[in-house]
Amino acid sequence: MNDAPVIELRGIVKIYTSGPLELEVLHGLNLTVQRGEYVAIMGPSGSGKSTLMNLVGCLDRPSRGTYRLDGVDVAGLDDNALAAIRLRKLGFVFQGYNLLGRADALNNVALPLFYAGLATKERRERAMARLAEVGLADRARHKPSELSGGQQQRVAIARALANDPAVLLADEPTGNLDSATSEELLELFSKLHGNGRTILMVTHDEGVAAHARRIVRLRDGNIVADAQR
Amino acid sequence: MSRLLAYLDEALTSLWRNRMRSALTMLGMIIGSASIITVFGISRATTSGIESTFGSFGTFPVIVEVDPTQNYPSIAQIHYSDVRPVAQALQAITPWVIPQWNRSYLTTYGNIRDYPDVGATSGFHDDGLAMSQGRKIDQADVDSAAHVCVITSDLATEFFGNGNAVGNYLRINGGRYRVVGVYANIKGSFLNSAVGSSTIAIPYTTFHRDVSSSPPDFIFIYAPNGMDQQAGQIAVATLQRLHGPGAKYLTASTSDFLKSFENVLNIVGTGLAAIGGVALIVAGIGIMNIMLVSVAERTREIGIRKAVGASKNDITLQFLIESVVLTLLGGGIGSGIGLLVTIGGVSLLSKELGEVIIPYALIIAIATCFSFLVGVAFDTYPALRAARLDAIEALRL
Ligand SMILES: Nc1ncnc2c1ncn2[C@@H]1O[C@H](COP(=O)(O)OP(=O)(O)O)[C@@H](O)[C@H]1O
Ligand SMILES: [Mg+2]
Repeated sequence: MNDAPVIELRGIVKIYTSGPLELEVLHGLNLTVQRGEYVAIMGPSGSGKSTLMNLVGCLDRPSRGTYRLDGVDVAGLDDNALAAIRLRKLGFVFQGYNLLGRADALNNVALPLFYAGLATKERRERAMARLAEVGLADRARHKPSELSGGQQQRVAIARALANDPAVLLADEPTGNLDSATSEELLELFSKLHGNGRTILMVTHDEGVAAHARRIVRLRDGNIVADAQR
Repeated sequence: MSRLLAYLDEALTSLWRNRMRSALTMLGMIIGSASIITVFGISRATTSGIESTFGSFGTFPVIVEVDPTQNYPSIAQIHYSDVRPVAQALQAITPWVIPQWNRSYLTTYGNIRDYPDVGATSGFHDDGLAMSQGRKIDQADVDSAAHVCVITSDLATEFFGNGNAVGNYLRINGGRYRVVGVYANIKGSFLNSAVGSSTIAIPYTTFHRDVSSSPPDFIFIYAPNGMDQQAGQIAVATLQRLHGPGAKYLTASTSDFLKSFENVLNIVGTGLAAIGGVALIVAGIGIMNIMLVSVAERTREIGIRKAVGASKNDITLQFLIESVVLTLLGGGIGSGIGLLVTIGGVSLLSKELGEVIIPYALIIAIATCFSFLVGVAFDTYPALRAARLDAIEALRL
């Protein structure tokens, strides 16, 4: 079981339909990610990176193809089961942080723990531990508006890690950050990878991708290169 | 259960984060439930007050009198001697049939003079009236046509001050009558003033023999519950047998009147409560509107929650709990205000109505149920809409 790939995509096709128009964005992708890998997905804007991430993140379903996540066939699951998968097995980090603006850092990190059904005290302890892991233990009671972009993204990472997911997904996590802050954040990713986390990161920046151990290149909905470094 | 508490906690936190909007949402609920509780509380209290006032006034007779609109009322004139055959005809229903007069006579005690109403009483039926001193007229008084009387407490004060009235003698229309009892005050000034609080009751036999030889004005029949109409019909039929089929009589049943009076009060109360209900529905629509706005406003938040792992059920439940907390809180505050207004209004009314009961338990139960139902009924749609939001779309905003 532990040797099984964390992510196994086979013949993934994604077609967006709007009215009579059909747009095929992904054309039968195959992608396998093993436990502990640190993968960067690169490609020009509009090549389908986010679409792929949403599928991997179980926020959306493929039009065709199979997807096994941590050994579970995800394609046939209903909305509630997908929500449970997102909760237990996936941690999502977005370009725009996506924190709850009115909740402080601690409560943002505790949010997935709430849906996982943890008691208040446990939630607080776990959230605190996650914040410490991303180096923000002293900012627990700060609202997002009182944090820098880099700090907000760290809170988002702590939240993504809250339920100890099988994969950490990040869509352009440094897209809104200056280069110095980006560097710090990428160091954090490297540290998490060093601790055994599986990371899948989307970027269009070669410098960012250089931190990953494997680079998958997308172009117009096809994988055109896949190289270990 | 603890899961539900956690949702409640999350809902309260979320409501607190948006406290301004929460307060505004509650306002409609507060106004709606305050008005419904006020209307309902006061109308129920009024009904109970009127019921208890009539209750303290004793049992009510069917009253038979000559119809004054007929061509020759004198043909139908009720005679003292008519009472016995009428009573015989009514034997199967009630033994309590007496003649009654509507007169007032000069009554004196020393230098104190007045013209109170003097009425006849049978002494053998329980009139349900409470006594503040002494006893009632009894069967022996009636049989012997004794010169005894029972007076209202107002008269007792008028003639004898605050001292003991029983044992003193009043001079009524020239005759000498021993006071044997004093009625307790009827609860509520409303009926006291309507009926007149200076009344003297003497045995009807005494009235006929020594006070006035004129024919009685009425026949009073004290029938068991629900028999009023039948008793009245039998009495009229008997009188018509004696006076000829052309003689016309009127019957009036006070308990029938009371029942229809209560019905009217209930209808008015229900109608007013229905108006309050409309106010609640308006409040509910307001809540629905605000919750829809809230869903739209919090699209991003919902997207975040879903991305993080919240299921449709989680989101639905969260919004439902939020709105039920709002409606229960608003309903609670509104009912509190309504209850205070009711208590205030009732304290004004109780001077007129005597003993008034506010149905607290009923009010609280109704307020809670209504608030809960309004919350669930009007937030289901917004909550489902929130749950159906597509996370990717929601996060793109
Ligand atoms: N919901 C959608 N409906 C229709 N077309 C979409 C939708 N989302 C993305 N697309 C299209 O799919 C293509 C890939 O988009 P995306 O995955 O966001 O690319 P990237 O993240 O690589 O920039 C683009 O042409 C985009 O316009
Ligand atoms: Mg993108």
